[in-house]
Amino acid sequence: MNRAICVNTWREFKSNKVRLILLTLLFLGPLAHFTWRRCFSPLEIQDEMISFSAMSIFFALIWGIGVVGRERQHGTITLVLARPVTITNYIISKWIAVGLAAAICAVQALVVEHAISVYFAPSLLLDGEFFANMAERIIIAFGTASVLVFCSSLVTGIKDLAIIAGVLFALMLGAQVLSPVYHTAYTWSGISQVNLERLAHIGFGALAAVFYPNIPIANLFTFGGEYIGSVINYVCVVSVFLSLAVFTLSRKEFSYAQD
Amino acid sequence: MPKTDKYVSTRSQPKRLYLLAVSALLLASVCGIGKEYNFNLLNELASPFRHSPPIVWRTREAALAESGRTGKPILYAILVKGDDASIRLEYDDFNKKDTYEFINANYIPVRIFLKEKITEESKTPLEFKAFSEQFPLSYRSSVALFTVPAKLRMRNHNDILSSANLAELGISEPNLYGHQNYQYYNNYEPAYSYYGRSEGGNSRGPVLNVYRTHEDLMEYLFAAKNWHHFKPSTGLVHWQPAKLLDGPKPAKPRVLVLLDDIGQESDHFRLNSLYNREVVDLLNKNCTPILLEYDTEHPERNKTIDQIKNKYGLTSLPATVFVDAKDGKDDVIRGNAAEQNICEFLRNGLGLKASVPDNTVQYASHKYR
Repeated sequence: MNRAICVNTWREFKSNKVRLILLTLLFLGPLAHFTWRRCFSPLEIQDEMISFSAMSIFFALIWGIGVVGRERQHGTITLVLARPVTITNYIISKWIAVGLAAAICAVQALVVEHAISVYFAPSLLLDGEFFANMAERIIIAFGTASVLVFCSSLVTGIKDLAIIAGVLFALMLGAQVLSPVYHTAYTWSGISQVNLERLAHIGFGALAAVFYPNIPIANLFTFGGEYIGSVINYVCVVSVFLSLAVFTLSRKEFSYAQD
Repeated sequence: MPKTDKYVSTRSQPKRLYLLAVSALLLASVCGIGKEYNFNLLNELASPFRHSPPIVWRTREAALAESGRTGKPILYAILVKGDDASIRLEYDDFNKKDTYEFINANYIPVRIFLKEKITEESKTPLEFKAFSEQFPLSYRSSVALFTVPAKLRMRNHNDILSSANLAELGISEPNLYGHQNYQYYNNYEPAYSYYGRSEGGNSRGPVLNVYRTHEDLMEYLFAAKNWHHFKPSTGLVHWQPAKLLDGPKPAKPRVLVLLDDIGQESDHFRLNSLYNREVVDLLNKNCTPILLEYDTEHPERNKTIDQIKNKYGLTSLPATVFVDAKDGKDDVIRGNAAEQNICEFLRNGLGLKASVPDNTVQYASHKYR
């Protein structure tokens, strides 16, 4: 990991006001929602009100969009690579920078939400849900960061946002188109309904691993196949997307880069 | 930068990262994808189902015999491979000391393990065919606990789920809900099915489909143990003693109501007809109502009811017999007839005019108390 690349990524983020506004809204959104609920449902005041760990995905999105592409657009990547820095080192540094920043922001938001809950119900101080949520936020932040770094390495600027939106839109459209085929396939394809469900399950599992890279902390305590499976899926997503990012970026032309 | 031994090209490829990525992808493809998939070797090897909890499981045949002998209810644990709740139940909650000790002491547990979801009844595995006739297993994709009281061990799920005891149903004033709602309470599992814990205060059910915490599970086990433990309701009719059957003819004509102490048909009759305004009015004001209940657990006590069944050629219950009809002929109405039909039957026997059906007026049952 190259510390200078990380710090530079964070500095660049600070100079972008739109991202700062979005980050602030992401902090305040859940707090406003919980305040509203506390006002109108007094019974819920005793509950632990913390947002889902999946919120970490949005923090990673704010930090990770255009993380490589913007440097390519501005040409600064050629200057960085003119230094004794390998593309692998560059990608890993970007991944850690995005993952760490997103994890810190997500955990910070969680701590504020938890502190308010503890203010109303002090017995929630050491609530297990809080710690599990925190761990999952960190895991998701780094998982999503790897996917975003790969998307950003494909294009210049923040076109990776368009890639992500396009893929999600295509998936939704595809699901709508394929839905009637799926529901009738067992009548004409000869595949049993059970096997069709299994195939669909594999597809959804793969998609979930990419768009929601998580290791459920609750499964940690069972030490069963599910836990090991989710760890493998997570390692797979992170390593595959970082490898693809390095591979893609290696094939780009950088005028000032060494050799 | 001079090309020394330490020189690394900017575009040098991370071989170790690629190796890790390929290995992880292969592992995920073979082991990690789809917990329901047959090739999920990892799940097989690390499955909690490999470590049986210390519950003394019986086969269904052994459990039926033991239940008949001891009177303990049978607890069927339907577990589905790959289902999160099944894994949690078997691996976590069944291993807790208070749970397995309570189950071993109060139930006869039977484990029904489904390797996959059964989409058609005809494809039910042979070993579960008999059980599936009692409690349909098709399209079941998640965990369920099903408690069968000893006296109902050979009945189907409709009879087992049915109850005519107001406390068991979690209602105190059935008529206030309108009689149609009895069907809901009777046919479906109460609050446990959907919410994991009872919401109606004391509603109890023999089926647990969902549970959130260990306390939910224990609450279910405590409650389900007593399912069908209490006597079914006899409605709002002022029943007269059965000895009037043998004595001289009373001033008001005698009407016999013969009911099973268990079973959906008799339960419906109790909750519908015996709480109906017109039926109750006719029986209390114009007749001498006598109730004969079949005792499933003690067949030797059913001599009187058996004689009456033979006399009138009744093969099943419920049935209503008008003994002292105006025309001198005994009249019988079989099965769980609609309230209006029971009313007309009683009016015919009493020689009264037919009434205009009025379904719109709901009767406030407390007036009778």
